[in-house]
Amino acid sequence: MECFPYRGGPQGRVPSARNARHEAAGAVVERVNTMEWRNRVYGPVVLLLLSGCVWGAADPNDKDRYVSRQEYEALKKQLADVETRLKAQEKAAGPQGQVPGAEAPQPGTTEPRRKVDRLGLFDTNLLLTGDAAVGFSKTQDQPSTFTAEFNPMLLWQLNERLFFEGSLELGLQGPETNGEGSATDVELDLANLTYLLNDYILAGAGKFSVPFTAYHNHLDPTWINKLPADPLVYGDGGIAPDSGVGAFATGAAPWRRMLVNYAVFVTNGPALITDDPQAAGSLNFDNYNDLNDNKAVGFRIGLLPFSRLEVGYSFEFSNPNPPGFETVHSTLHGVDLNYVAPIAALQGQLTARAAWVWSNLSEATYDPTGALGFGPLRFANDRNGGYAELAYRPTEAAERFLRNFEFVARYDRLNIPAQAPGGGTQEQWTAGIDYWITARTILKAAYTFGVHENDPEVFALQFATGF
Amino acid sequence: MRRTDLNQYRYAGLVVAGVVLGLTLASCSTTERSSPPTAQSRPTMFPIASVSETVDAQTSSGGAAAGQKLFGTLGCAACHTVNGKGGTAGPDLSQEAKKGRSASWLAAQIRNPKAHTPQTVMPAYGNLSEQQVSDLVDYLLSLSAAGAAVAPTLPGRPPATTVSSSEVATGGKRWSQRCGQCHNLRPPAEYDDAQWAVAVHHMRVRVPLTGAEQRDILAFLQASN
Repeated sequence: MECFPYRGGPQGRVPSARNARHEAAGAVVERVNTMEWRNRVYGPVVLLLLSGCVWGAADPNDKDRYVSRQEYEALKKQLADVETRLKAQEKAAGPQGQVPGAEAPQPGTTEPRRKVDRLGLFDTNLLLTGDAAVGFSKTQDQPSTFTAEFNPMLLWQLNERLFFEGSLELGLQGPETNGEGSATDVELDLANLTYLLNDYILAGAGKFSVPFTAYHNHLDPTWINKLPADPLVYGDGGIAPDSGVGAFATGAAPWRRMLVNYAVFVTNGPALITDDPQAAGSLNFDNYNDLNDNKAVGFRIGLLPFSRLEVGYSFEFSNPNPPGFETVHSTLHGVDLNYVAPIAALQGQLTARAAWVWSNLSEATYDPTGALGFGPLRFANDRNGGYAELAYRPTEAAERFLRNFEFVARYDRLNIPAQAPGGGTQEQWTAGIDYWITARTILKAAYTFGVHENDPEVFALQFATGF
Repeated sequence: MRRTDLNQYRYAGLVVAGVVLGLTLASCSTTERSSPPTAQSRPTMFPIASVSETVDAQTSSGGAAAGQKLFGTLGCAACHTVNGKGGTAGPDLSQEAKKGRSASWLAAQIRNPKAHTPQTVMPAYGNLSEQQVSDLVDYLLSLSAAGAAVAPTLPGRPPATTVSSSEVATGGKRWSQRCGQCHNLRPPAEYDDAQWAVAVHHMRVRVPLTGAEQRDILAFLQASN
């Protein structure tokens, strides 16, 4: 693989219509510059002529209201002289419209604009996008509830190399007591700047979607996820990171007959929960501060042996240790698969997605003195879990309305050490029916069957759209 | 554990799922029609690529062979699969004759797809001549009649434009395969050139794409909107 200098971005190789428009825009600028000089000359001339007309018409009884032949010839000669000089100036100005002998641009006026233009800051493009969803869910032994969320995303292309991505997650939090109102939960989901180094690699920093397996980076927006809820391994209490604050480099390149994509990242890392009796020993991936001057590092490699299949391997290492837990290390491994293909025999499209994550933390004793009421607690802190999802959409069905349906089945499993708080195995099957109203608007209905006695059953509806 | 509070949702969901699945299977099981096809619809949820319509099509000889060449020149393979090769944004066109499509229907579909499906994003090839449309129809009908027709290839000679039709066609294929791997495809007409530049740049970062993929996909989308 050669690393070529970036050979011009997409705006450097544009269709001819766009080139024509740019050329036309440049021609307009030229004409405007020329026109400004022309107007400065023509303006007084026209004014002079009008003045002459007005003067001549000012007093209809004035016997001198008509110019003499001599005066007429003089005016005519003056006009011809002005035209000649104007043509000479245009010829001398050249394509830039810079008139020789014209007053030079004052410092602090045009010069900064030229510099700014070279940076391309006046060629920026903004795009507001994102997704929103409303839902209804009924979890076993809990009240049913409606939900709503709104996740706007601002994309700003500063120039062909520099790009900003920012997004918020807006949702509702239930009140702590009946007397309080629900609060709006606002979270900065993403805020990062990236720079395209060449055709095969780019670098970025900020708050970004951690490329640990493919789910959060590719599949978790509400209008892409085929079911209302995230897989157990990625949801609340999951064992995989979603976003982080740090820096990253990523890219893709052809390799033999395959396509390879790769990413490396460093973040402030997760925090180890040590004092919560219901979550001690878990990693808090919603922590974005570096608590111990130790960073998390990781990478992901994805292989696309052919266009419809991607398999990936991910790794992350961190020291999430607060004071008193200096010896605790965290190692995460993950594998993921994504396969999408039309199946002629089924007259439709099949989508298969799966991922499995292993989380290994060093052993530690939580609440060693018992002061927090649940210790001393010590256990082998190895966790793992994942999901497998299959979806079928009858895109070739004879009936048009059936083509918009999609049938989804997903298996989820999360294994927590039995001695850990909340330990045990959570296992469930989810069956769902989706209806695609448009390419980006989906109505989902799903029922989750718990496998074990303690696994809750859930019925959920969701209406989601990407904009 | 009490599960009776969810029974009503469970049973209702099972009934609805069963009805829909049954209808779907019954619909998919029919491969021959007992009656002539009426105005058929195309999947509208997968935006279908369009390529530049100012392609210098080579139709000197006419017939299925010319239609095959034109199929490749126009970049139809970017979105339509023929005998296992091509894009997946649009339907597979390998069995049009077996599906009972008439020549007149196919011609109308090529010239004005919205007449059959108002929501389709397939562009209208109204500027093709009668001979060109006839050649394309002959080619499509010959596929399932002849069996193993050779899949069309993309044109090797770039036209006299800054972005060649092959680049646009390649971009269409990459768009349907790379982008379609994660999500449904937004119709190209929904965004203007500047918006697509931003969106594709975003995908360059997120997927990630190679620089060539970014340029090809953007060229296709900007040519198709």
